[in-house]
Amino acid sequence: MSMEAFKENPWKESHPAYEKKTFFHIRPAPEFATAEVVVSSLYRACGFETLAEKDVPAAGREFAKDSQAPRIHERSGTKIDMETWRVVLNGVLESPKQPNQSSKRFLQMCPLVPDVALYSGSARLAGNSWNPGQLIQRMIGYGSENYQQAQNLWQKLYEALGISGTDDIWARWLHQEFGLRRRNGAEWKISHLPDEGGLPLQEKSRLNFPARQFVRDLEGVIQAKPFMTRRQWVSLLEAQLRLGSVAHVLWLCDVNYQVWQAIRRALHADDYPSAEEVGNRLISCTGHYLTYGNPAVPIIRDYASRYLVARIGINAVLWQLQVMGVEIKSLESCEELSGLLRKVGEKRNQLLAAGLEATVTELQEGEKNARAIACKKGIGSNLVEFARHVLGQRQTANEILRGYDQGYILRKKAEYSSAPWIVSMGPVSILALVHCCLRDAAGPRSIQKLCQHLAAYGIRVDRDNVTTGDLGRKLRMLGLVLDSPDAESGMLLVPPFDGTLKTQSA
Amino acid sequence: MGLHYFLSAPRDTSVPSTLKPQLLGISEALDPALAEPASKIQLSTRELFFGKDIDARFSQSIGEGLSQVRRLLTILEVELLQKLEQTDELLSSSAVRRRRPATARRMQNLIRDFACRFVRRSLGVRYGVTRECDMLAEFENVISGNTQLLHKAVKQVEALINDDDHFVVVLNSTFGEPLVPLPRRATVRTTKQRVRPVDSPTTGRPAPTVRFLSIGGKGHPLALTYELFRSVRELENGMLPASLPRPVVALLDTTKARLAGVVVRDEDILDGAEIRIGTRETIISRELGEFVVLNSREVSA
Repeated sequence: MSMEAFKENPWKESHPAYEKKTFFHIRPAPEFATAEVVVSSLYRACGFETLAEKDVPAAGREFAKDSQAPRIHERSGTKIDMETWRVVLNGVLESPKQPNQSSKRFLQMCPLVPDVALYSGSARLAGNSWNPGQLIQRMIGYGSENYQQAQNLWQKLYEALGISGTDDIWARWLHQEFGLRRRNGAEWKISHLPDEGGLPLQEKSRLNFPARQFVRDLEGVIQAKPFMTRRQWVSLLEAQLRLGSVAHVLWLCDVNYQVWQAIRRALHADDYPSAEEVGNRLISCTGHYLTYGNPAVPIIRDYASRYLVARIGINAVLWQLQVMGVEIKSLESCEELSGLLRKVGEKRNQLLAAGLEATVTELQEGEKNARAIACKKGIGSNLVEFARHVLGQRQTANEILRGYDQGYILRKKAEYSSAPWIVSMGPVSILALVHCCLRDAAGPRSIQKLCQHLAAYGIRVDRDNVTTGDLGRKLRMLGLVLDSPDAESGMLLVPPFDGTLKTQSA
Repeated sequence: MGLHYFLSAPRDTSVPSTLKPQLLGISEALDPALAEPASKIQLSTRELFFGKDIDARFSQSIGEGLSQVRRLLTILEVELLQKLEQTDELLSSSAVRRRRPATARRMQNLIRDFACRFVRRSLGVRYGVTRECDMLAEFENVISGNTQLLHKAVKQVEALINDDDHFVVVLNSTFGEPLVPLPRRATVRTTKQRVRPVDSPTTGRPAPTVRFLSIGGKGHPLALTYELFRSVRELENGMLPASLPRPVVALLDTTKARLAGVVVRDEDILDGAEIRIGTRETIISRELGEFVVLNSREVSA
């Protein structure tokens, strides 16, 4: 690989340090996925390690065929009749298809029990799918204080996702029935969590980014499991994964952009931030990505586009430095990032003389990459698709089932088909959020804490508009707030699952 | 012009935004202007009905209405009503009527309505007559410990929580999701969940202002709010459960959802419970910790 190959195809030929040894490279590269795909993939990543994503659609087809074969049904030793089992698969468990999938025949089930993930919930119906479960795995690594903590959380998640004797009766029955029909030798066994902490421990503790909040909240959601039915809990987990995964990806996009801006500053002025400044200014999530009540897709597209611009820029600098004999081996900490900026500053004249700026401008603004950078195709388009479909409310082909998805973060502003997607959370996401927000707190918390909690995920809510806006209305409808006129328009949050707080304090 | 300013001037600038909906709620519940026409004020010599003595008379003319209630109002109020009466008469005069009949009629309606509300509020506040004042009095009795009324309300709440003699949990729907169509529904039917009033300790502390009900003996107690109590009484008088107000439906749904989490895990409650899938006749029953498949026809036979 070389600078020439990079110029030829900048998306394929990233610098080895950027590709493998950077904490801000988005890996695995997100593509289209729905919230249920993320949950199903997490099941596989957690307990069915041997099953590859690309094998799921075939397994699903075979399973659907088997469910219609009387002989196979009898051989399984089940006590239930075949017709009822088919109603379970195609009616009760079925997750509604989207309008563009209405004519396709494939098994799409709500990931209630681990076995469902063996047959449905891959991002694509043919070919190689990306693995959203790995993204969650990496997020757990990023957000945990150390590897031990990440492993403990992984173990807890594995236990919660599995079905035990104390689980919901429906989940236990489904687990038993699916177990009788399991064929491909898959076994529900905890998988190994790779040691990918992202940043070094001492740096991580003073930085704020969405994965850190996500890890705390994931533990809260696991703790709430005994207080609801399995379907309710899975939807709660799904809501948390949606918010966390997209916030994580947007944060990475933003970090890339900030790093590129810092490199440009170093190229033009003597501005080399120290490691601490790099952490505070470039890495920490201080701003917000989305605003409650506002359209989201154009902003997501903007972040994706900026990420692509930055990716080209950073890689061009790394390749050019290599040509000049300066080898950058890794960028896995703020310290190393600060070192890179210093080196760029030192070699400023040589880099500019080598025509770095012209190369970057040509790659960023040239005709060849224009469509990719405008998020019309390739990585950028995939990123936008990922965020929009994971966050957005599921659109259903069957009109009766349009209320199926309640854990959304984005919803259509109006009924017409081209209506913009605005940030507006569904009841399940609000419940999950309020629960996680109150879990940290020992006493009562006001609405301000909720706003701060959302800000940790990069969503801005105007505190003054909460009471009268959509969020306030939904909070009241769900009985999650107490209006307190004594406190001059204060609103106090009420824990939705009161038992969880007791468990924690006990 | 004074009346126009009074009616259109913004008065809520100093009200905090959280207080506003609550004040609106209170004014809706307590406003004497909205009291039922059958509400009455007991005077020493006679009874004054809101409907026939105030509404009917003020709708004829302000003078007619004022003659009925003059003695019961303060001097200032009478003075204001007299001025309105003059306006009312002026608007009835043929000179005004002929020139702009529609405007005159509208104006007359407005001031008669205003005068009527004014009198209703003045008398209602003074004599303690509000909308649903009987119901409020009953609710007060329940809170202060009338066991008979409380028992009646508890039974009605129990009927609302349970479906006939069973407690039903929909297994494949989540919070906020509308009920899925019957062929796609999986439900578990367990034994009826009892509702009982919670006795709060009163020694050494003031009497509680809200009664709580425990449901199924477990989980979060349900507050017997005024709205719930009123709905229960209206159901008793023949209202259909489908007409329950939204906050009450939300309260019951939340309570059921909370209880469902406990019910689907508790082996004691689940013993003998039945899972039904869609409209199929197959029943999956839980007996002695095992799943048993039955047919509903056999069960009913």
